[in-house]
Amino acid sequence: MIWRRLHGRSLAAAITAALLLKMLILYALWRAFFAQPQAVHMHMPAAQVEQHLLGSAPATTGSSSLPSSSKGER
Amino acid sequence: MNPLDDVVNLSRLQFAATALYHFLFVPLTLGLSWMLVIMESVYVMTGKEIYRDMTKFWGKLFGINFAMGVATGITLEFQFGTNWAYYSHYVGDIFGTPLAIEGLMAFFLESTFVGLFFFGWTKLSKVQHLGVTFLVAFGSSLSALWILIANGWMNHPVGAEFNYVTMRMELTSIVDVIFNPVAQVKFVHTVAAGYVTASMFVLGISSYYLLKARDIPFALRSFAIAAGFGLASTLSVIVLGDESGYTAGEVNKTKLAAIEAEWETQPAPAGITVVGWPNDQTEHTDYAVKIPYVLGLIATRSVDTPVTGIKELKQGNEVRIRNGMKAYAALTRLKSGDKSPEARAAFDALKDDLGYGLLLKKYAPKVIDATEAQIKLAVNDTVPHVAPMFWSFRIMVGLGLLFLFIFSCSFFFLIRKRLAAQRWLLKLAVLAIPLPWVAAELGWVVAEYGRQPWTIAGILPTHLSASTVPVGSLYFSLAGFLGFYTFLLVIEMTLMIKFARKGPSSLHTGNYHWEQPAAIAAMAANPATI
Repeated sequence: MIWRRLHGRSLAAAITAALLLKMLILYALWRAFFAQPQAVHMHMPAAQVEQHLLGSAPATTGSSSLPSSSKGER
Repeated sequence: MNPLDDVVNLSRLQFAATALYHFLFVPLTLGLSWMLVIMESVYVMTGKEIYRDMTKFWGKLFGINFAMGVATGITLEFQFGTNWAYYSHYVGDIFGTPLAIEGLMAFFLESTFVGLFFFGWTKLSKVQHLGVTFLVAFGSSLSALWILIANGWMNHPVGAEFNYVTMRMELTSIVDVIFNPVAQVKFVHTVAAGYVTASMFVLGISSYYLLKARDIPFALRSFAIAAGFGLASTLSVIVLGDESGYTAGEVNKTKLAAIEAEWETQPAPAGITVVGWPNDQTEHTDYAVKIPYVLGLIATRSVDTPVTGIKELKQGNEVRIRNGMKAYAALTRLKSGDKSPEARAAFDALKDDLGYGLLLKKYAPKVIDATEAQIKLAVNDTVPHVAPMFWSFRIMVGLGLLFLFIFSCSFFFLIRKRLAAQRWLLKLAVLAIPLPWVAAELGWVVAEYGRQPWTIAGILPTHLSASTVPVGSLYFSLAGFLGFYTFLLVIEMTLMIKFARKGPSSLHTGNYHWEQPAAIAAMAANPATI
């Protein structure tokens, strides 16, 4: 189907359509899964990192180590 | 399995899948841009229209790849803040500079001049347009440079120091980061691999035209440039790969030992295991076929320096883990409010081994109370699984030698004017088109899997780098990415095959095969021929 649709179009039209669709999908993926990063601008509160690295809770348990207030904000 | 292990492994899988997909587009852009510079330079120097047509036609295929590949790397940056929050925090001060320069300078330079390349043929002079093509190639290489500086730092973190107040690595010397030997070697090896990929692409498609006996002058000239550039690039990749082995021997000893399945420290100069069956359980390579001296010469450039084996490296790592436990205790003391000079001095003396102490976190949450058994588990974690490294590397090298054979034969028969009789070579060149991508992807497997168990070598373990996002979210975003990249790949392949089949006739100059009366008649009778 893609082959037939692309075959009949000029290269510029096909690339423009693909680029628009690509941007749309990228935006949708970002919006759905990545719009609220834990590390904003590659930075986290030092206390949270300290808790993660030095806290005595096992680093490999639970589904989230975020403080409950942080979770609420997200 | 522990739920968060799933999160770490799923995050790794997602990053690996997106990075590998992204790198399907990158090498062709890196290599083909410079081939366009060569073709257009010949056009500017000789004035022969056929070289302009070559630049335009291969430029069209470059444009398809560029359009499909552009912004596919941004998905990796999406993942940094969301899936790898702790890693992002740790490296933020270091990565900010190279990633910002890459985004602002290299990417925009490349993208702006790509537009001028396609729309400037009638608006710019010959030399000006050549300048534009050069800047496209330069921009794409510059983009790769900054990304590989960041990646090189992950393998060899220089020019930075851990700050226990901010709990992150902080930049101490941007010059050291930029001139990191690992980054420099990685850069030249990666771009040279891109040149090989593009050369095989042009060689294979030109061979297809030669096999079909159409557009012969166009195909022969393209074939000649691809054979020459490909031969030089393959030799460069081999020499730079050797240099990469030497650098690994200097700064990534564990990775080198895993690649070579070097379990024991052999007397210098060490022999290289060409093939064999590495067994992680018995720490032995079964059925090993060795060539004496070669590994020692490659890895140390000497005949009297030994290559440290995995067992000895593990002993050294055990010492560092025990020091890391003390560093962890000293850091805990500092963070609990003891700012005395003694507390600072205790931490400063051992802070280089803090990362090794953090390896224990997986088994002993408090680290300082780890048992001997837990220390042994952490020691075993310091070496990646050997078999995937061993085989990925050997398949990559084997493919490199195949490329050397293909380009050497192509060059030889071309200058002897005996190419037409070598149909086997032309067929082999067509079949070999996808293989440089396989080699490049395996190269990344060796580089990144070989860095395990670290995200930042010796500093931050992978299992402490990942965020704590819900597993369901990771599954859905992974599926979304796979669908997204597969969609792009299908579009790319569809357009590439369509225009490669059309060949230079797609330029509508009236000079090429499908524009000739006989071909038009044949095409009208059977449209499936094009």
